[in-house]
Amino acid sequence: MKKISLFVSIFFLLSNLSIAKETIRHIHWTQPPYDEIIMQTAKDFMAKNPNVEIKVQLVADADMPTKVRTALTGGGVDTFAMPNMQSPWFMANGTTAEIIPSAFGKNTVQEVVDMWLPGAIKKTGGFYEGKYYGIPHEMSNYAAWVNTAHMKAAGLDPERDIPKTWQEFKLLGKILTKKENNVITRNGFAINTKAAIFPFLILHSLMQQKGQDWSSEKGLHKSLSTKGGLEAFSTFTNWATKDGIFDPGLFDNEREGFGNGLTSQFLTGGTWYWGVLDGYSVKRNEVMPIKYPRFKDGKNIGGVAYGYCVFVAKQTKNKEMAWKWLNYLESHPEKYIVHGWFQPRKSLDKSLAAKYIPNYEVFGEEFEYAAAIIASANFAELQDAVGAAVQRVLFEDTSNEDSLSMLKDDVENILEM
Amino acid sequence: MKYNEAIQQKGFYFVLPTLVIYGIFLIYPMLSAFHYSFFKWNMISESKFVGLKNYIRMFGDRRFWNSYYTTFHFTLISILIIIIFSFLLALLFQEKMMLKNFFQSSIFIPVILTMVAIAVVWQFMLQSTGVFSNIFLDIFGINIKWLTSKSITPYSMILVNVWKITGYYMIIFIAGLLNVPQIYYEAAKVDGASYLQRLFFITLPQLKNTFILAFVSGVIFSFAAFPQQYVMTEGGPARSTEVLALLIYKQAFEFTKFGYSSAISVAFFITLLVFSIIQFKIFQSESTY
Amino acid sequence: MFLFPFFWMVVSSFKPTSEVLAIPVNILPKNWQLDAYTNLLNYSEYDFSRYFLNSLIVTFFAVLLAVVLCTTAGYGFAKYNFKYNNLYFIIVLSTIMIPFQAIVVPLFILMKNLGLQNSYLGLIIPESLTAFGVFLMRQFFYSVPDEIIESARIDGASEFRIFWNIAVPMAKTAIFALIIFHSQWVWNLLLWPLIIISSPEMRTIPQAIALFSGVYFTPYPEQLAISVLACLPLLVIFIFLSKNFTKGITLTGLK
Repeated sequence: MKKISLFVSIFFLLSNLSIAKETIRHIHWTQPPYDEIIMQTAKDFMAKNPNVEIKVQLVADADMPTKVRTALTGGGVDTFAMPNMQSPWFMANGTTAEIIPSAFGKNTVQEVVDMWLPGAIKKTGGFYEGKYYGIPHEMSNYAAWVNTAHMKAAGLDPERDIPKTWQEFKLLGKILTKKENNVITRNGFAINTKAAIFPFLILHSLMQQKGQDWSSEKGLHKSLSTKGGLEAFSTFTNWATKDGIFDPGLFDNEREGFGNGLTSQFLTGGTWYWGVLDGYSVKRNEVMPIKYPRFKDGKNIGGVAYGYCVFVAKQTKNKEMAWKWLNYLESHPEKYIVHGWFQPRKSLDKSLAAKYIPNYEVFGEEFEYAAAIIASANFAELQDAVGAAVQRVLFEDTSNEDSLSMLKDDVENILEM
Repeated sequence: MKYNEAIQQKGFYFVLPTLVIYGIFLIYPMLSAFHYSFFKWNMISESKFVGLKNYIRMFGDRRFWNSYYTTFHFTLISILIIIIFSFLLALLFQEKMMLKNFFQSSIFIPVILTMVAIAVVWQFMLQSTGVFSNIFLDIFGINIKWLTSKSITPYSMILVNVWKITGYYMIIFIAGLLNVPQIYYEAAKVDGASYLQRLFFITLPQLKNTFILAFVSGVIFSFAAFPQQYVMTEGGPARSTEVLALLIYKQAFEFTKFGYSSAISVAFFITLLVFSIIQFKIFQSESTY
Repeated sequence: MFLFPFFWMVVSSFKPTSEVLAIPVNILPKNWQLDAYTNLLNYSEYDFSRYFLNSLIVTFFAVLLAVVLCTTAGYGFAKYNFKYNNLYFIIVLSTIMIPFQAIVVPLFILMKNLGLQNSYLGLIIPESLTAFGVFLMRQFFYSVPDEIIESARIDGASEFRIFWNIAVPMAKTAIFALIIFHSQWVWNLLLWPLIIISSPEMRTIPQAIALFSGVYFTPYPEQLAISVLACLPLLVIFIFLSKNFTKGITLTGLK
């Protein structure tokens, strides 16, 4: 009898020891200093849940979609982050799992959605065709940034002479562009023309301001044959071709260029840019974020709003635990705000935003009028086609009209119209 | 002789491991890709059979033919320059000179550098205010748009390619030159032949196979050029440097059109196959391999 | 002229970021600093010494496997007349013409099915494949006189013995050439490791260099510093073997 009970108890002991740890593999993009926050959060979660192991893989931003896709093919990922430009593809192709309310301690999906600011999940790409698949990790919108030190050196007043219309923006650019022997040594405006996403995002706002609807595939297609669309497109390309305020060959990365004082304005910076600027030579008190300029007769739309959500892969075995992990990951917005990173969780103390983000009111106000990005599974191709359209005008001397008509053909091919 | 046959068959065992491993890890995936070229597949969902649709689309695709042209242009011009240049360098290094090893090594160094590092360095040099541009401005008085002009950027790519792999071929030619029996030269000198005559009537014919090898392998490698364009221009500006390998990558990984990408890969493969067969025929008629 | 980019690269790794990006461009640093190199040691989530180790391990074994496969196959193709010899050779040679991007996905799925993803083997095996190497070795072995082999056979040596004790030593220099060419290729490979490696500790050096290019901010001195360090091992191999190198190609009979 004794032998049997000994054997049984040993058996029980061993089987308890051999309960495998549950592993959750999480893919995220790398962006110091937030990498450390994520890794620490993972450690804290593991301390609270000893039978779970979180494996975080940090990948370069541009590689994210490819990395996650290959991982999904190989069954090697459980949760992942994805920007709202790319997430529709993942949601449309059935790779993501719906939100599980019980993991959040709630009864309905709507209650979970209400844990974040109204419309936040939709604006950050966690919503598709009536269902919720992701929870927000970041929500940002673009403002226009101006180097006020340059303005002062040119005899201008940063309070009064801030551009409010695109016309003023262009004129300011002309004044602030520096040339030497006919070579531009300082851009009045700059944007990265190599990566199609950036011209796309700026055009997004311009198009919406001209009354076009770039929040849907049909709307985008339609805009390419309208006068307003042509005007929006030309305004953008003219900065390089006719107005002489932008030489794409001076440098690639406009965030870098602005930080080094090599461009006086740029249009692709969110609240997080303050943290980035600290790594460059231009100082915080030499720049100012302002509202996106508008067209005099255009709609009141600001820079695009975009964000990242975190998702649970459909192939994940323990989805409930995965959502618990994600909820935990997203429960510490106060850690991120310190660096200027905004997470739209209701639990975040509003005053912190104003405290840590200089000129926060600019971003906050603009957010009301931010352009909502298209939610399309064909985003990668559409973005690429738009980038090519811009490049045709900038580098191939194609006319704006011709380039747009070629873009229309491309879009029809992509959408299989 | 049966004994001999048996021995000859044993040779198969030497080749077997390679056949097996290449078969599993190269041939099988390629056949797989060939299979997918008849489907529409985005790597996640079920694949859909579409027959020849991918191929029909490819033949009518302006972008595909642009890549085809870009790749040919890049490859042929690069190779021509590289072969001539590396051969001349090899000739040069035949002479006695100071610091020969240093010069040879410095020409070879680009070969071993990582593409990412090279891209960063060259980008800095080729920017509007970069070192290269400044030098050109000083000498020629014009500011060349190295990376922002549809007509010029392909040549910038060729420049970087030449810089990177000339060293490799130079070594091949040096070895080839070393192989030419000195006796021929001695005899020619005795007969009173000039340097140029020796070059054209002895060196070049002796090196014919080396040239052919360099040309064929160079074309095959340059045709598949990818890291350079991917890191430096992403195919721009205006798709002027979008070589086939880059298009294949984009279609598969950025647009998730894996079936279409496979069709382009098949076209790529067949092009090189045809090229090699043509070369082989010429090669065949002139050698004993 | 050739060396200039490399020179700029080395020199710039000693500059602070602002100097690297300054316009007008200056070549020599105004403030020499070792910060870039010391910073590399401080990155907590990037374990560079581990990446170096990974690259070393993978390169070493991939090249070793490549040498084994290419010498055996080259010898077999050159010295024996078995059935379908030429056909097999053409098949192997045709693999050079396969664009790597085309097989990445099927190869990845295959690796996953074999359980080799995110492993050293998953890197080593595909990276050891070089039909060009097979071609090279075959060329070389053609020039080994048949008489030596025949006489060894008459003396009663087994085929493998002949290969190992006679042919291979003669091939030393050709093998060195193969080592140099192939290790350079494997060491700098970016795409395949990117796809198949999922855990950070398995990363290789080129991946590490690419990671530095942030969307918002690129620490150029650090990126250049690691690039400089990355090419040192190859430089060492090259210098070390280059004496034997040119002789090696010579003996492959590439006349």
